[in-house]
Formats: sequence, C-alpha cells, structure tokens
Amino acid sequence: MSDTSIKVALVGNPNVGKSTVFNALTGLKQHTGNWTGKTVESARGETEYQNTGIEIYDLPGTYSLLARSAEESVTKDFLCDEEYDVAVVVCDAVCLERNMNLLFQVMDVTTNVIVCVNLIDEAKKKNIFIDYKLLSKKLKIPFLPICARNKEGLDSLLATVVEVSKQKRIKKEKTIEEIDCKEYITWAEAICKDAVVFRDSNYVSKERKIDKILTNKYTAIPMMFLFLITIFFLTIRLANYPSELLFAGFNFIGRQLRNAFMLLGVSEFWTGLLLDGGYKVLTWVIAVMLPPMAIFFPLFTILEDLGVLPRIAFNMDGVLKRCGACGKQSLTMCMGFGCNACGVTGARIIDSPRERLLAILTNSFVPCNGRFPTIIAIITMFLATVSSKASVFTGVIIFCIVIFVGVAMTLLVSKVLSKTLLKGEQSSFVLELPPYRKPRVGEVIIRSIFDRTLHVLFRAMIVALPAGIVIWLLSNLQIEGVNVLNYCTSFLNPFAQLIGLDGVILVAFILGFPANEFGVQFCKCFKLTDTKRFEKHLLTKHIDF
Amino acid sequence: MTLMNLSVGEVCNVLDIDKRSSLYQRFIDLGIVSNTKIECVLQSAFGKLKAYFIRGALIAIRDEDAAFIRVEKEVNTYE
Repeated sequence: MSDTSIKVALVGNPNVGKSTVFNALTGLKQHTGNWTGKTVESARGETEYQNTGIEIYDLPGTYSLLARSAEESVTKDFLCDEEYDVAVVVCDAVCLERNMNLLFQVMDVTTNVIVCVNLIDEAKKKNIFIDYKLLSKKLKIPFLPICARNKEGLDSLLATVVEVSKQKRIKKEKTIEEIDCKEYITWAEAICKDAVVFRDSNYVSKERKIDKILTNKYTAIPMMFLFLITIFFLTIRLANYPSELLFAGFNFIGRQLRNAFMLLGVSEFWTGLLLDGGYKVLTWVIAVMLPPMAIFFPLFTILEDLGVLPRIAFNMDGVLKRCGACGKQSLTMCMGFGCNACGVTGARIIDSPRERLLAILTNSFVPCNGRFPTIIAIITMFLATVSSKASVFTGVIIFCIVIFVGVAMTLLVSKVLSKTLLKGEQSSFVLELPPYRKPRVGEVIIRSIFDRTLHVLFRAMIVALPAGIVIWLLSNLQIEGVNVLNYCTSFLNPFAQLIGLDGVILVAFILGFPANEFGVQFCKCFKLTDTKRFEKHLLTKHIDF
Repeated sequence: MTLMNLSVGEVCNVLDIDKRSSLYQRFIDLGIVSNTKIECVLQSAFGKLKAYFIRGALIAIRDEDAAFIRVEKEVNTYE
C-alpha cells in the first residue's frame, strides 16, 4: 500500500490545531496540548479514503519557512527536500490573515497546496465570517473549513487531498532566501479585507477578563496555586477510595487463589513464588499507582486544554529571567509535572541553546507524576495517615511544599548554572498566548487514561511482576539457614552505612534501577521480611491475605 | 515612541522595526510591519513583559524587545 499511497504534509503556524487535525484524520493518538510548540518532531500516521491509502506527516508548527529554531527547520527541510504529494496548510480561522504569510511561502516552494481552515467553531463564537469561495477564487487553491475537534469537514478534506494528488506536484524554483515576508503580509491583509468579516462580539472581551484575573499582580499567584492545589488535593483525596477498593478486591482474589492452589495441591514453593511474590507486588503496584494517575492525568490534561499553561509562563517570565533562564522554561517545567521525559524533549521550544540546556538540566528537579504516587505514599505513610479529614489537608500541604521545593530547586540551580557553567547572553523570545479552549472532558478522560495512565501502568506492571518474584526468591531461598536477601543486605551494609543508609535501603535502590518509582515498593517488601523496623500495621493492612 | 512605552488598553500603529533586534524576522513573521495596528492587552504580573493583540493573536513580548519596534500612538480609532 505504501507505494501507491498519497503522502501528505501538514504545515501550519504553532497552535492552530495541526495535531488535532492529524489525530482526527489518522486516529493515532498523538497528544495535543494548548500551547505553542507541542509537536517537537514530525509524527506520521495513516488513513484511508475510498480505498486510497493516505500517509500523513504532522510537521512542527512554524511561523515562517525562514527557519530560526531547530524544530522550524524540520518543517522547512521537509517541504523543500522530501518527496510528498500534497501540502495541507492548516490555518486558524481566528487569525487567518497572519497564517497566510506561511501559506504564501509554502506556495512559493511547491504546488498542490490545500488550505484547511481549522477552529471554525471558535471563529463563529467570535463572530468572524470567512468567504471560502472568494479565497479559493483569489488564490486558485482549495480553502476548506473544518473543525477537527468535532470532526467536521474531514471527509471533504480527504476527498480534496485525493483529487489534488492526481496532479503531479512540482517543486518551485524560488528559493527561501528570495521570500519577502513584508510583501506577503500586505498581500494577506488586502485579500482578507474582502473575504473575512469581523462583527462585534463580546467573546473576546470575556477572554480578556479571564486574562486580567490570571495575570494580575495580586491574583496571579493565588490562581496558580489554586489550580495546582486543586489538582493535587483531588488526586490525593479521591485516590484513597478506589485504592482501598482495589486492595480489598485484590486481597479477596488472592485468598480465593490461595484456596484454589491448596485444592489443586500446588507445592508451597510455587504458591509462595506466585502469590506472595508475583501477585502481591503486582497488585500492590496497581492499587497504589492506578487511582492517583487515573485522576491526575485527566485533570492536568484539562489544564493544558484550557490554555492556562502559557499564562503561567507569561507570569513566570520575570522570575525565570532573573535566574538567567527563558520564560518558556516554565512550560517545560509544567510538562515535567506530567513526565520529565516530555519536559526534556519539550525544551526544544526554547530557541537559545544555552537556555535550552538549562531547561533540560533542571527539569529533573520537578517531580513528575510517576513520582507522585510514591511521594503521596510516603506522605500518607509517615506524615499524614489516610483516614481523618485534617490529615488529608496536611497531606496536601506537605505535598505542595515538596512540589514547591522542587520548583525552587529548579530555579536555584538554573541561577547557579547561568552564573557559572552556562554563562551567556539572555536571549529574546516571543510567546503566543492561545485563546482559552473548552476542554472536551469526555475525550480528555479517555485520551489521558488510555494514552498516559495505562501506558505508564503497563510499564510498571512489566517491572513489578518479575521484581516481586525475584524479591520473594531472595527472601525465601535459604543458604545454610540464612536467606539470600540477608546475605545481600549484610554484604552491602558497610557501604551503605558509609553514605548514611543501611543495607536494606541500598538494595532497594539497586533493585529500583529499572523504574525508580518502585524504590519505595521494594523498601516496603524488604521491610516485610524485616518487620521489626517497620510499622507493622501499615503492611498488614494492605498486604494481608 | 516604541512599543515598550505603550500601556495596557492603548493602541498604536507600527512605524518600523529596528534591524538590530534579534527578533527582527520573527516580528515580521508575526505580521508586525509598517502600519500594523497593535493593542497592548496585558501586563505580566511579575515580569517586564506585556501581551499585545496583533492580527487576531495574543503575543507576549519582553519590554527590552518591544523597544525595537517604533510606533506612534493612535487616539481612539481602534474598534
């Protein structure tokens, strides 16, 4: 199929919903957020229209082909050098005029250009009316209104892609260097004057009001904390119930399995290995990790969709600038809350290499949400017990302090680095503040649970099952009456003492290498064999069948 | 005057951009050329940067960069 399929390149300004168009077309779940520079590499997906295969390349968003940052040159290089059949320029209906600059540039390097005007629902709300026929007539290329979010107009887009691809694409002679943007902007203005009509609307003023609250000197910080605390509070508070239910359920199943094993006459060794080792650790990990993740990820995704994150970057720029970093670093920091790996790759949105390096190096100080369950587990275990209301509140406060210390460390280290190893000029940047977008709650929940939660949980489970078995073996296989684990811990104890730990914790660290989230779990399981030193009731409460 | 001097709520017309600005090309990409109308919309809570309404989009620019854009104030004609 790949020989005959049509290759389509998706281009557009940042934050016009290219990724949403891509997802809607291919069904491939590439995560899209409401901020600039979300697509850091080009993603590839496939779809079909009336038995014709269509291959779609989602290129990083760019304002122009006169590339300045790394991700923008990806787009330029693809459009100029790669083989493809159709270039689809995705435009934002709300600021079509500005988007046309890029459109004209794309038309300079290739034929077979289709314009797809996205976010028509937003334009409608803002009373913007666009005459697509007139635009098509003037520029002699198809203009298609779509709303990728609601999957409107996608069929006609695909039909047009197939239609246009029948003509052979011709590379144009004009080189990028000859492009005169100023001329294009005036041209776009002239075209849009006739084709785009703005009527009065109070929608924009409503948006401005929210903006004022989010960026006001007195309300900005409280609002920011409010968002974070709400998310963390809901996560900690709500996660308990499903967590306990899961524990109870798993314990029940565990008991039934044990009975079944006994009836079947399975030997004690295998019962221990499978039930006390594998099953116990696996279910423990699921019960502890699944509920907080299933709550945190959707909530965070809603914040992303709303468009709150760029506003936080807008507010934080002053602080970050004093630390020698770029304001966009607060975006990568927020991404870091989701996943440090995303935070690091997301640092590509920062143009200056020095500031990018700062953002990458300091991202690990932001606790990612893989670490949240562990942090929450430690807090609930040692500092605030699960049941009473007051302690939940203390739990949230302590948790926020932990997060705050993480963020403070990021800033401090950025500052130190920018004064020492990474000295350099502060670079300039512009930051687009996208319109607020209503999150599609249903889709958010499904998407974040399937894309993120189950993905992380599955990875955790792959590690947890064998880890449980290994730990059980270590603590139950005996050599001359002493179990293997004790050999390990007593062997490592002198080294561990040197760095202020003990043998048990060091072994837990080492076994935690494949996924460090499990350090605590390991600790817990180890301590199970070493009950003298651990609060017994906690363990018996959860792992008892 | 320059864009930097514009306060929230004020509207201006762009005269030209200083070529020495490291953001010269980026400003043009964003549609800032002579005679572009720009409205200053937001002031950052803690930083020296403002957000401007430029051709339908909201763009945040640091004051030190906005200083490269020469503008003239417009009186009550922006609707």
